[in-house]
Amino acid sequence: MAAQNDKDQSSNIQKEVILRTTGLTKKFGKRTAVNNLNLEIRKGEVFGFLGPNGSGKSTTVSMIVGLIKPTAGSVNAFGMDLKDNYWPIMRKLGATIESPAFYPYLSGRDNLELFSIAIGGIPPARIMEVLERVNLADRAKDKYRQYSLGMKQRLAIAAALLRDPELIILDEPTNGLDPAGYKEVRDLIPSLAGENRTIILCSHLLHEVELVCDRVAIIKEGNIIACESMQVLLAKGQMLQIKVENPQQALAFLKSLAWIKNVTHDNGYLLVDAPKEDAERISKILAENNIFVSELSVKSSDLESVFLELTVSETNGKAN
Amino acid sequence: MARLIKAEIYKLSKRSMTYILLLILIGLFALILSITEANPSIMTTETNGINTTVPAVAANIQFLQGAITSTIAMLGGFIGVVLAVVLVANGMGSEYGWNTIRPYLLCSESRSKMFASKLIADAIFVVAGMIIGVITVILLGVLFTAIRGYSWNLGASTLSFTGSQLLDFTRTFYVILPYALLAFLFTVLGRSTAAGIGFGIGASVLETIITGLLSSAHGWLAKIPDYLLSINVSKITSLSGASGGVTVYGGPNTPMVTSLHSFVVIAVYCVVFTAIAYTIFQRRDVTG
Repeated sequence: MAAQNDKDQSSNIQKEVILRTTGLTKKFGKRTAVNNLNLEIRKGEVFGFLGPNGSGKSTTVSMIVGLIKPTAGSVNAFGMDLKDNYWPIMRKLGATIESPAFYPYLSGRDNLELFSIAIGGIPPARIMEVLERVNLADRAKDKYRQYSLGMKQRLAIAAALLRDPELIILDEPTNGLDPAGYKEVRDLIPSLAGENRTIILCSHLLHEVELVCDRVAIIKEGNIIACESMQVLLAKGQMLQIKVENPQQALAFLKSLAWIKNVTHDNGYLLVDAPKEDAERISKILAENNIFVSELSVKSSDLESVFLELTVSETNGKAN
Repeated sequence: MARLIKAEIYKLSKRSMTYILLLILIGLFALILSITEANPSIMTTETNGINTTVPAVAANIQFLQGAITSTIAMLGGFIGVVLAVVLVANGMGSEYGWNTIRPYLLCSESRSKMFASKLIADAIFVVAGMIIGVITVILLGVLFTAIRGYSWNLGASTLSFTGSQLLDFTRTFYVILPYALLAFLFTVLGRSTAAGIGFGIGASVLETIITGLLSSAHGWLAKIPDYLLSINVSKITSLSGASGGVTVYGGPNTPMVTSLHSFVVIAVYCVVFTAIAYTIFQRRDVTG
């Protein structure tokens, strides 16, 4: 597994950086919405951008697409600075920002036709192609105002795909979707990534991100608190689950060891915050102290617990 | 830029509001001409040395000259200003109301081009509305001529006449422009259609009242109206031989106000309104 991690990381390093933010900062009055954000998105990856509501996700992506002007810092995409190359960058970038917004008096198809006129150079057949891609072809002629929220979300994705973008930013694309629609979008994302596109997925739905993303950044109160590959991030949340005859004795002993970060007692098991590589060492040292392990396993973590741990510990850290 | 203008025309042409405004324009013209035609006064016209006695309004509307003059009077007056203000404010205000400003900006080459394309498309629709207004009045003139059994006379359709009417048409558009741009400015400023319509019409009405009050004052206060819109709009519309603008008081015959003065004052207002709207639009963040 370690070798696999190394391989993944080295292949990521080799990949071209398609989007880079440097010191990106946005202040609204005295409030800092995004603080000194440094991100690198690599070509072909599905990058998850996580954070609680109001953490600065949408402000960040709005700065990336030029809707919000940064107070400081810069955005560089496809090797070009956004400030001086807005349109060359936007020609290659599709985005859905926050909730879907279209002209209610136009049909879904007409909305896309309008956008294709504005963008220019989009073949007429592309409109139906993207509508089919998001399963809206049969409702293409219906007025946008008649669409359900799920259909509106899918139309927004279709609009983002219109210019056949190399980089797609999807900001909360599954908001308001029913389980079937949610699955459709979740399946669509890897298939888009498979077409050599890069995807930034902003969400507060951790399960969604865990299923589709290669790498994740977690933002809280405008600050990046973690930016890792999914494997590394999930490994951070792994615990060793140990069963012994006398858990209280083992708990006291393990707590006395400085190299173990944390130990808790839960439902007859000890949960030791240590990497799985330390399992043998812990088993040995417990045996040397006449505490014999009857069960030892690695308790895998999900993104939700990692996210909560990171965001809560960050908050506690600040409070202290 | 051409793409964005085309997109703006697409938006306006697919919108029912555009056709409702057009129907209001046609309806109002039909109503006004029908009322005046129902109670015509008698006048004598001379064409090619032949005197014809017909009701005054009919005499006007049975000829191209009369039709265009009538249209200019109505368009350059309150009707044209209100309809143009509603059109312009709606075009921009809806983008904010529906939040379409966000996805549409992502499809636009730049904010400045989007801004310019909106104004150009609005101008095209205002001119188109004016042309349809002229055609409507001509058709109504033909209709009334036929119904009343007046004599047909196309003697006015000369080249010099057409040229002077085109000039009047341009002047009418020119006097609508500052009010439309004022509405556009307040729409951008308030990010809403209501703000644009309210301030666009409200400010112009308020200004005419202020003009009226100040015109009765003495000293430098009395000169202020010369630099406001209403007196200058009246001056320009008076060149067409029609009373126009939204003036309730104040005259185009104030010694200070020359045609050039009025032209320059209106131009300055247009530039100022556009520049402020552009600066706000260009600099302001687009947030949810």
